[in-house]
Amino acid sequence: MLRLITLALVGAVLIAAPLFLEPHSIGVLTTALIAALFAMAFNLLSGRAGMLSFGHAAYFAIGGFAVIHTMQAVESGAIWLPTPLVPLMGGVAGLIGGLGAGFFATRRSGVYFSMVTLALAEMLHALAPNLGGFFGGEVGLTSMRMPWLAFDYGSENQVYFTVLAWTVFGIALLYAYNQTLFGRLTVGLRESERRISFLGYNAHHTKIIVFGVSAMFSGIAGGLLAFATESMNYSMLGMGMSASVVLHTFVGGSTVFLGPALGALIFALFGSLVSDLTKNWLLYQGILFVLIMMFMGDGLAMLWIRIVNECRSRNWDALRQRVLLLIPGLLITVGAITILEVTSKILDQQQYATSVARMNAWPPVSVFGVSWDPTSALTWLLPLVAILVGIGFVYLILARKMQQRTGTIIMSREPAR
Amino acid sequence: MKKFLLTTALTAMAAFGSSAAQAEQLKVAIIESFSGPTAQTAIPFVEGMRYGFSKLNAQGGFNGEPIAVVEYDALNQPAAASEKLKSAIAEGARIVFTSTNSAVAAQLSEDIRKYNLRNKGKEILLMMAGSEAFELVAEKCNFWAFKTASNPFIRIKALVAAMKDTGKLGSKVYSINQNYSYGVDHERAQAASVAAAGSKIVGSTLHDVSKIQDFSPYIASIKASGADTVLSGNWGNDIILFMRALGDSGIKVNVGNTSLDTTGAVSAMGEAALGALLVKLYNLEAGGEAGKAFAEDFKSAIGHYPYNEEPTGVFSTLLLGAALKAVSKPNAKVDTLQIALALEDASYETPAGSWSIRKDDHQVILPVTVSEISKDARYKVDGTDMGFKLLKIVSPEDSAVPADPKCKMQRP
Repeated sequence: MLRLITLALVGAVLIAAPLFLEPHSIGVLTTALIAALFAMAFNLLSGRAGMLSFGHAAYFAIGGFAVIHTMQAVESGAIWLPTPLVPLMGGVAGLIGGLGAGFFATRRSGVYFSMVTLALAEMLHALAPNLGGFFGGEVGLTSMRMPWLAFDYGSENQVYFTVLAWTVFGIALLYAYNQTLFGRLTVGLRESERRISFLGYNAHHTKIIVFGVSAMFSGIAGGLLAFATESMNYSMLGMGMSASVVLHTFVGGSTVFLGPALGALIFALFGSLVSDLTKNWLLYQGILFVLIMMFMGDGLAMLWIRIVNECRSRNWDALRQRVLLLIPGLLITVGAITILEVTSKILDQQQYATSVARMNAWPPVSVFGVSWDPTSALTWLLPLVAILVGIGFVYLILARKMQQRTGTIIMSREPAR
Repeated sequence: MKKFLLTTALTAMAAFGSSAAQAEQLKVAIIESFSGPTAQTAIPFVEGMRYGFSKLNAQGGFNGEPIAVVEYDALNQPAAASEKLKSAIAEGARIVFTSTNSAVAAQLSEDIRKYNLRNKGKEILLMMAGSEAFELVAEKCNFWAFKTASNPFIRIKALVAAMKDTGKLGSKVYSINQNYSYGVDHERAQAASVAAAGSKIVGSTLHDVSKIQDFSPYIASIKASGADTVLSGNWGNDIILFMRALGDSGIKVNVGNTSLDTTGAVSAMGEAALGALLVKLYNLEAGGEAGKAFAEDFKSAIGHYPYNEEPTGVFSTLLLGAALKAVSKPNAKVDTLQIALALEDASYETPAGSWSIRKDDHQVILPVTVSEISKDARYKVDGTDMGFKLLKIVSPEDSAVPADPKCKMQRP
C-alpha cells in the first residue's frame, strides 16, 4: 500500500513538473530520466542475472545512432514513422547488437565476462572515429524532430513527456519481465548457473537472451537521448558512459527493483546542478560515491527501505539515531566543502595568483557567502574543528549503539545460563 | 568563478549609474570544459576571453552597459553542453562562446540553429574560437555561427608556404597523423599543399589517437622512405612522444606541426624539439612595438605572457568587440541579427595582421605565424631556455583557403 502511494506521488510530481519548473530544468530532468532507464536496463544484467558489464555504453550508443539515422530518414522523407515511435528503433538496434555481443561475452562468466564486454565496447569506440559515414566523425550526426499530429516537438515539454512515457513504459516492461518464469530463471543464473542447466535449460542461450533484452532497453535509452538532443556523437561510446551507469546502479542499490533509477536520478541531477556551482563537482561526486559504498554498500534505496521498516516497527531508537547522525554529518560536510573550495579557489585560479602578485597580499575568497581570509588561522581551523567535532559525535553515537547492542546480547544470554 | 564575474559585472553596472536603466544588458555565455582532463586545453582560450571582455568593458561595454560574462561547464560532452546552453538562454545569454571540443561546438551550432528557427527575434549568436573541425564551416556551416579559428587546411597551407620560402621544405615529405576526422583532414591538407609547393609525399601514416607509447616503428618507416621533411597534425602526447622518438633515432629531418606549444610540451620534448616548426595563429614576437605592448598588457592583467591559445581567445573576443562597437547605441535593445551582420563586415587589427570574417562560410580570414623552436626566442617557455622564434607571418590573403562548396548558408 505504502509502496503504491509513494509511486503515485513520484508519478504525480513527474507529470506536474513542467508546471513549476523552467524549460531548461525540464531539459535536465529529461536527461535524468534517460539515465534512469539506462540504469534499470543495466541492472537487469548486472543485478538480476549477476553479469557485470563494463561496456554497456556500446548498446546505449548503438540505439542512439539507430535513432538519429531513422530521424534523418524521416526528415528527408525516405520513410514514414510517427515521431514518438522513433526511439523504438533504438530498442531494435540495441537488441540486435546485444544478441551479437552477448553470444561472445556470455561464454565466459565473472571477471572474464566483464573484460569481454569492456573489450567489445572499446573495439567499437576505437573503430567509430574511422567510420565517419555511419558515426559522423568528430562533429557527430544531427537531425530534427518532425512534427506529428498536433505536436511540433519543438518545445521542451513535448520532449519531456515523450521521454517520461517511454521511461515509465520501459520500467514497467522490466517489472513485468521479472514476474515471468523467464524473469525467475534470470535470477537463477545469478544464484547457480549449474543448477539451471541441470534443470534442463540451456544456460548459454538464456544468458544471450538476457543480455539482448538488457541491451534492448539500453538502446531505447540511447535512442531517447538522440531524440531529446537531436544529435549523436561517437564520444557516447566512451568508457565514461559505461562507468557512469555502473556508478548510478550501485549508488541506488542493485538489490532493489527501482534502486538503479533512484541512483541515476540523484546523480544525474547532482552532476548538472553542482557543476553550475563549482568546477570541483567531479571530486564531490567521487567522494559521495566512496562514502555510499563504504557505509551504505547496498545503496540508497536500501537505506530508504530500512527507514520505512523502522517506522513500521516503531523502532524509535534507530530513527532517533539516524536523525542525531544528521547533525555531525552536516558539520563534516560543511567543513570539508569549505576547506576544499577555499583551497581550490586559491590554487586553481590564475586571476587569484595575479591579484596576489599585484597587491602583494592574499585577498579573501568567498565560500557559502562568507569571505575567508587565507592568511588567517581561523579560516583553516574553523572547518577543521567542525570536521573533528563531527567525527567525534559520530563516534560517540555509534559507540553508544554498540554498547546497547552488547548489552542486549548479554541479557539474551542470561536465561540460557 | 561565475559568481565572481557576475558580481564584478554588477558592481560595474552600479558604477555606471541608473541613467542606463532602460538599456538591455548584453549577456555572454562561455560554454567550455572546466572540469575533467580536457579542462587543461580549454583554460587558455577562456583566459584569453576573460582578458578580451575586460578590455571591452573598460572601453564602455555595449549599448552603454558593461557586458556580463557567465561561464558554464560543458563537462566535455555534447549532451551536457546542450543542457548548459538551455540554462544559459534561460538566464538571458545572447552570445555564446565555445572553443575546444569540436563535438561540443557542432552540438551548440545545431542547437542554436534550431532555437533561432523556433524563436524569431530572440536569436542567439555562436562564436567558435577553437574547434578546428573543418565540417563546421563546410556541411555544418550556419549563419548564426562564426568560426574565429583556423582549420587544418589554413594552417598547413601557411606552414608549407613558409617552409618553402625559408628553405625548410625538402623534396620528400612524410605525413603522419592521428586516425580520426581531424587527422584525416590534416593528411588531405598536407597532400594538397605539398603537391602545390612542388615537393612529393613519399609516405603517409594514420595511427591510433593517444594510444601509442613507442613511435620508433613509425620513425623506422620514415627513415626507410628517405624523407627529409615530416609534417604532422598530432597533438598532446602523440607529438611529444613522436618528437622524443625522433630525437633518439638521430635522423635529421625538418618537422612541421600544429601543437608543439601545448603547456609542458617543450620541456617534455627537451633538446629533441630544437629546430621543429610550429604553425599557430599568433606568435608573441610578431608586430614589433604593438606586439610587445599587447604581451605586457596581458601579463599585467592575467599574470603571465600570453601563451598557447590565449591570443586566439583575445582576438576572437576583440573581433566581436569591433562588431559590437559598430552597432552599439545607448539605451537600445540587444539585436543579435544586427550584431551578426556587423560581424560579417568587422575587422580587428592584431599585431600580426588583420582578422575579418568571410561572408560565405563565416570563417575568419587571418594571418598565420610560423615559428621555430630555438634558444634565441625572445619569450622562453615551460621554464626551459627554449621558446618559439618567429620565422614568418603568412598574410591573411595567402593563408586563406576557398570556402567549401558544401556550405550552403541560409541567411535570415
